[in-house]
Amino acid sequence: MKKNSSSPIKFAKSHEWVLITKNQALIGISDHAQNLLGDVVFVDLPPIGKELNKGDIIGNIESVKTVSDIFSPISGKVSEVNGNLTNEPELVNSDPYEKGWLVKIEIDDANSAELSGLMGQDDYKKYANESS
Amino acid sequence: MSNNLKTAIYDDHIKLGAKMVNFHNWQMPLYYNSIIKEHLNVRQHLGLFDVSHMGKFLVTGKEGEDFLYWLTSNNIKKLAPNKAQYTLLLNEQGTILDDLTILRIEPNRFILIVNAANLATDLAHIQKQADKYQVKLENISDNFSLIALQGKQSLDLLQKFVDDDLSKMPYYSVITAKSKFNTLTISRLGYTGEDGFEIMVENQQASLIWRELLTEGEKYAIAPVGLAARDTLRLEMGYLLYGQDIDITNNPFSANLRWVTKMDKEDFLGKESLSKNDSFAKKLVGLICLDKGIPRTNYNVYDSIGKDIIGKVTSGNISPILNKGIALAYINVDLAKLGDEVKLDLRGKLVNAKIVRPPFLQIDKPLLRKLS
Repeated sequence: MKKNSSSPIKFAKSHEWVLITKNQALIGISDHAQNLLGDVVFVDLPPIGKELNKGDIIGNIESVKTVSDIFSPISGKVSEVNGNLTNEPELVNSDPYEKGWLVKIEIDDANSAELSGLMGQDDYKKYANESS
Repeated sequence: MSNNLKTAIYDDHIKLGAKMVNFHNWQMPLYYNSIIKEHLNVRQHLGLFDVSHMGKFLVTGKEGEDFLYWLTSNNIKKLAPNKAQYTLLLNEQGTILDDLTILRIEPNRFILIVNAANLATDLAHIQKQADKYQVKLENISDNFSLIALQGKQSLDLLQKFVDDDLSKMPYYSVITAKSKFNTLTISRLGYTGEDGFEIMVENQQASLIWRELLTEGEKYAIAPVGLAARDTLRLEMGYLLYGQDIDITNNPFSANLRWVTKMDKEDFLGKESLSKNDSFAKKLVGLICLDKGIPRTNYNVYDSIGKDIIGKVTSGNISPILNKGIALAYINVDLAKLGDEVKLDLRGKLVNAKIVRPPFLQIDKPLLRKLS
């Protein structure tokens, strides 16, 4: 994600990432998370229009090993889901930050309260290393 | 017991970068790289498994056959030397203590391969039953490793290491073969549905044969395979896993194991209870998902209109070959009709599934067909 107009990528403790561009937030799971899950075989995503509060369950990701909830790192309304994951859930493994994105949500305002608790790339890297 | 038991091949797993997991006190490889790739590699090419955690007992003595006739549910008297048999240990109530494979090495020399989880209880149970017979029971689990080679080209690869003509071995046969890894007990069977062999080898030779099979197997695209893919492979075949699909609460009939419970035998442990009461409320069936989603252990099964709970999943996952959710489940026996639809509760979402008779896929074994 190297879009100039975007804010830097942020990570939640539950291993989702969010990238905010104006009033849109793109959400996925981190490389560390996909690595822990192993082969992703099914991704269950919410209907378009669903209102989400920060911390709500967006959907879940199933690997051969396990099923994990995905939590929304930010509040907003689902405007788009990654339809390619229906037939190619493995994109979450092979390209977690680009083709393996999960949902796009419309946000009212990326205010500081919404972004609190999220980590920058360096802090997240440290956090992920410690928690694994 | 230590929760940190290591097989003789442990160091090789670490070198291969395996993700290790504690499995009934054993440090075992869960996967090396990708569970799906390992699964597909076994179906398309060849896979190598370390299953040394399995318990291995040696039963010898002149009453060996009589003893196993009493001890196990299948009929050992129908098992010729150099053959293997799948069978059950039942208790007096007729419920299942373990499922196992017996290798008849000689007329009165048998190797019992039991589940690692049940090793201690099996040993105590068998020892107690053996008191009345002239037999010797030895736990040889700590002396021998067990390696499974599974896949279409198993024969070609293993043949490079032994002189005996392995192509003459029918399915479920056993030989004792000389090799540069000392004596190997080779049985033609497995837990994947593919053609393949299980090789019992002295611990001192285990790492060596493991490495040579991997090196020599490169030209057949061999891959080491962990317990996770072993589980998805066996599930595609509908093979049961003790502790999940069967346990001490099941009688063999509810688990479709009538074929290894020979009620026409004069007597065996558990028969009396089973002949008095062979009824059961729930029956094991296969379920295949008609919608997207993956069933897992303990998920509820509902009737076709999604109203009443009629059963529970004991094993479930995705079938990497069918790319569909598959499961083994116990459901109310009067509703266990092949072809009927039910609903699976996948974490609050009801999806449609169909009752089928496992295996979930057919494996063609042309080499073995030729022999039978």
